[in-house]
Amino acid sequence: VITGACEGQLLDRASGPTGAPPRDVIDEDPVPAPPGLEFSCPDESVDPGPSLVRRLTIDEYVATVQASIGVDIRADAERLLPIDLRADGFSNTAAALITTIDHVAAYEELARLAVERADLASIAAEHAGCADPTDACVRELITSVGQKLWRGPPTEQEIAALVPIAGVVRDEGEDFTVAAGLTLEAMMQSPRFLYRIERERDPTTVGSTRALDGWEMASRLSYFVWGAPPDDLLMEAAAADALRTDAEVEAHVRRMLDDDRARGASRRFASDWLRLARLESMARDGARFPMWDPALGLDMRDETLAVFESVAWDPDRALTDIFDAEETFVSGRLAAHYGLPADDALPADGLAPEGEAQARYDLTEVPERGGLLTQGAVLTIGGDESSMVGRGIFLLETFLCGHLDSPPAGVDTTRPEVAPGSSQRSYSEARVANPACAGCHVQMEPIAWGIERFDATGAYQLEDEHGNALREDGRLRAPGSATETAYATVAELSTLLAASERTRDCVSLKATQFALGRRLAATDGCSLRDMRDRYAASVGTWADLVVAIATSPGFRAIRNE
Amino acid sequence: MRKYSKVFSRRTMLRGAGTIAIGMPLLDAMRTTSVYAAAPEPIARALNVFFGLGFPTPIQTEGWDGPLAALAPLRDKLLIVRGVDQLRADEEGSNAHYDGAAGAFTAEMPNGEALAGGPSLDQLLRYHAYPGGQPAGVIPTLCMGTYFRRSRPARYIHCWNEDGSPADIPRESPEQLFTRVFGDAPAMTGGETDPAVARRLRYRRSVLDSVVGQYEHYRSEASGLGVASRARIADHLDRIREHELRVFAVRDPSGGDCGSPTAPGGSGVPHGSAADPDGDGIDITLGALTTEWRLMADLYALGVQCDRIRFGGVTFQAAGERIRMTGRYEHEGTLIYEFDDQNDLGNTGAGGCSHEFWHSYGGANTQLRAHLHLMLREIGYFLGKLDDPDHREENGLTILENAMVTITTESGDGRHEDVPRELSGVFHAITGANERFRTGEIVDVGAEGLDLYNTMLGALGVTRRLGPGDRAHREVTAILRS
Repeated sequence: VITGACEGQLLDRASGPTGAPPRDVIDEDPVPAPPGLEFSCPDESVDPGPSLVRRLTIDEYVATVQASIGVDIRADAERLLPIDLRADGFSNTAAALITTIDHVAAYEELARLAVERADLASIAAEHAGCADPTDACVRELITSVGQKLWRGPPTEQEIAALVPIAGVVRDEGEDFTVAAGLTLEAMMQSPRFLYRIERERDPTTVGSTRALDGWEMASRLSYFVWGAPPDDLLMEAAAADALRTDAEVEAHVRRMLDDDRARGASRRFASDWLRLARLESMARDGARFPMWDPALGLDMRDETLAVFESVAWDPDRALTDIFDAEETFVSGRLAAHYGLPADDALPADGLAPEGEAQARYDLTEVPERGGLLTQGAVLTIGGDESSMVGRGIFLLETFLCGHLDSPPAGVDTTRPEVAPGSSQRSYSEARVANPACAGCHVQMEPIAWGIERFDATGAYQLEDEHGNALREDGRLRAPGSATETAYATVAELSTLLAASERTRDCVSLKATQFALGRRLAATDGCSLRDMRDRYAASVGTWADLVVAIATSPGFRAIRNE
Repeated sequence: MRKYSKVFSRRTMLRGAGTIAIGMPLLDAMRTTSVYAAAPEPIARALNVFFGLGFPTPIQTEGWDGPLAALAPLRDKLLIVRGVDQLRADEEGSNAHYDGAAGAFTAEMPNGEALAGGPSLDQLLRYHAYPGGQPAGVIPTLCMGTYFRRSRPARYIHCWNEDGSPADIPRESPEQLFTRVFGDAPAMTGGETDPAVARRLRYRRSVLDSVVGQYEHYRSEASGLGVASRARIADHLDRIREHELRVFAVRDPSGGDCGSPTAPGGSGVPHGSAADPDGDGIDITLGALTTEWRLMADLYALGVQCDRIRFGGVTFQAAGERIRMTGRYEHEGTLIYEFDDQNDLGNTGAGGCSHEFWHSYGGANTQLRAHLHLMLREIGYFLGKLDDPDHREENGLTILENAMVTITTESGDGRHEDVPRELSGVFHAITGANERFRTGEIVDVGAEGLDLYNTMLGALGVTRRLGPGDRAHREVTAILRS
């Protein structure tokens, strides 16, 4: 159906249609499962879901260049490459990772810069037993270095496409180093380098799914766990087809989790999941919040990342402990903003990512603080107004994986005016009590009541600016459940969330989406159930979650188109 | 009455970039019907023009007496199309700002946040008119805009590939737009006097040739990739070919029809993440907003006039835009309104943004009308540039008159209180597309966006239809010239 339109007509054109297929050929929009039914597996059939080549994100590209030829290209990559669009909650969503002409120009220039800075002599010596610009010598180089740069062996066709570069160099009378450099430049602009490619059509496979081969699995693992290409051990396992069994996969994942690169990947997950990048440009009305300093936004981002890391990498703590961790890591500036007693600070564990010194604070004696919900990264959701609806939607979607439809017809969505005697809470309670609104608002607002005492900058207060007393009691209801659990304080709410099965499930769903680079669909149910069962049987650490995802059947297979 | 057939000639000679004369690909035969038959079919162009926040249907009924008056200078060049429903763009769990914006120019429900529900109008005409690609020097698709809210791509992106992925990422500053359109004059080949530079160019060509060969393999069935993945690779290949032209093609050093435009200076409005502080809105003056936009509009229009741009999208304020504007707004010597959004709304942050005037629609709607008037006036500024009589084409019409320009917004309401109402009666205006469509009128079509768009595409000879394949098309004859 498609080949007549897509194939063979691109050669002489300057620009033009993408060669995309007619819509009816690719119209397989994944349908998300309703909240609470994400793990449903009615037909006991694993479907790995739709796949798509995944362009490397900027972070992945930087890590891949570093691992491939030992050059740190981050500053130039961040200067030249367009930002990766964030969609469906993550900036590694494959569907949004399109390529513009700016990418193409940047990739060419970055390849040139990387090669210019690389130790070409060492690379050539490592990968070729010769040093002359002959086809044979260049072929030897490509065959060896290609496996490293392209995360798998190059095909004969791919090698043949690169060899002519050496001829041009010979014609110019230049040496092997020049030929090697130009060949590397070409390899770094190849689809094998810039995309994560998996065979979606395998004529040798019978059936609708196929297990990933060793090379494909190695890349899936490394980009998920590290955000970087496979190392030598993974490549060796790939070559030996030793990434098949649960034990083989788990052993590699556990090994990889001991590497610092895994921390970087976990930070990227946390940053996307919790929308931390928004803190880098957050603003507050100066007249209303004169104490606001944009640097606080960065401190809040760093605080949440530090707490996330502290919990995520503790082998004895479930990841959901981030909801009621009785510690935090903040700068002096943020500690003062939070009103933390100075004598609660313990020696600094280190520096925040941008250099502002962080100190660890023990919060066991600070009842209003402790856990994600009491951190600025969450409390600044909802704008200047600390909108109860805005906060509630964020909490519901981010921590409970709930979804709400648009307001029904006839609802007045104008913002009510908070005034003496009319607090946010009073309006919120009215919405929850109104049968016309309750269907949705009962799911999102009573959870946000718990953080009413924190203003739009995350500062704690007992009264709002109009003198209305603020409360912190409320109710928690998981999506898909009719049961509500009352809480009296934000600390109780935090404990409920930390212990909630739904919260754990939701984090695992978010992490799986991050691992797969696509929206989850109802068809993922069987694989997700497998993942959940493995995770539930563990301590619940970040490492356990990564292992559960990496060993789940959907992660290790591909739909055979 | 139509002067001549609106299907394309077989070998219409067009003026391409610079001074290159380029043969159009084979298209349907011209069938002459009148004394004007000798006039050539103009270049196929389609531009999607979007403005944010919506045009409430009750105000649309005021016709040229309402905010639409801001477009009055172009009333003879436009067909105002009311009663267009985009209900099928409603995606459960997604707000109508986003759904309506994603439905603009596609008439379909988005596919998550990353993808629109299908291709946009402009791209379908591009595929049809240039199946072998556009002439050298023409940018495949170029989007630009002055917008701030960017939490989801469809808020500000309005050109979509067949698979619903963005056809381009908008340039959002004059500097970016200038660089894309004019700033990358290709290196001159054949005339290099510096041997080192000439050698480096030869090396670049060799490297890129090799790269192209690899992408050609991966867009073929032999690659083992699936349909959607091969489409991605093919798209990347298109971008490489365009890049090659920029690097290697010989261009008239004078800049051809583009002349030698001067690079714009620094911008006075925020871009990137600073433009959208977490949806809380930004403070901006009327002067800063319109200065930036008009510079962008001038550059883009110049790019169209000198045939660097044939397809693309233009955004003036994103869907669900959040700005707190101040400034005295005068139009043709009359004070329209003295903007002071935050004060008028008595609130800060998001609550002090013009967006709230749409939420609180009712009464005189003074501020909403003023903002709407401003948006339409600024859209009119851009369209006016395309209507420049000094750039009439060989059939005697202006670029605006010849192109398929579609202007729309995100909703027919904006209160978020009734999705069906919000996605009903979404304002549209279209140009004549070389006298295929009526102009100088207001028509109430009572039709789905799909039918409007498919009627437009059909009039331009595009047989591919938007929407489900088994859906019966309902021709919107009210827009067609008899």
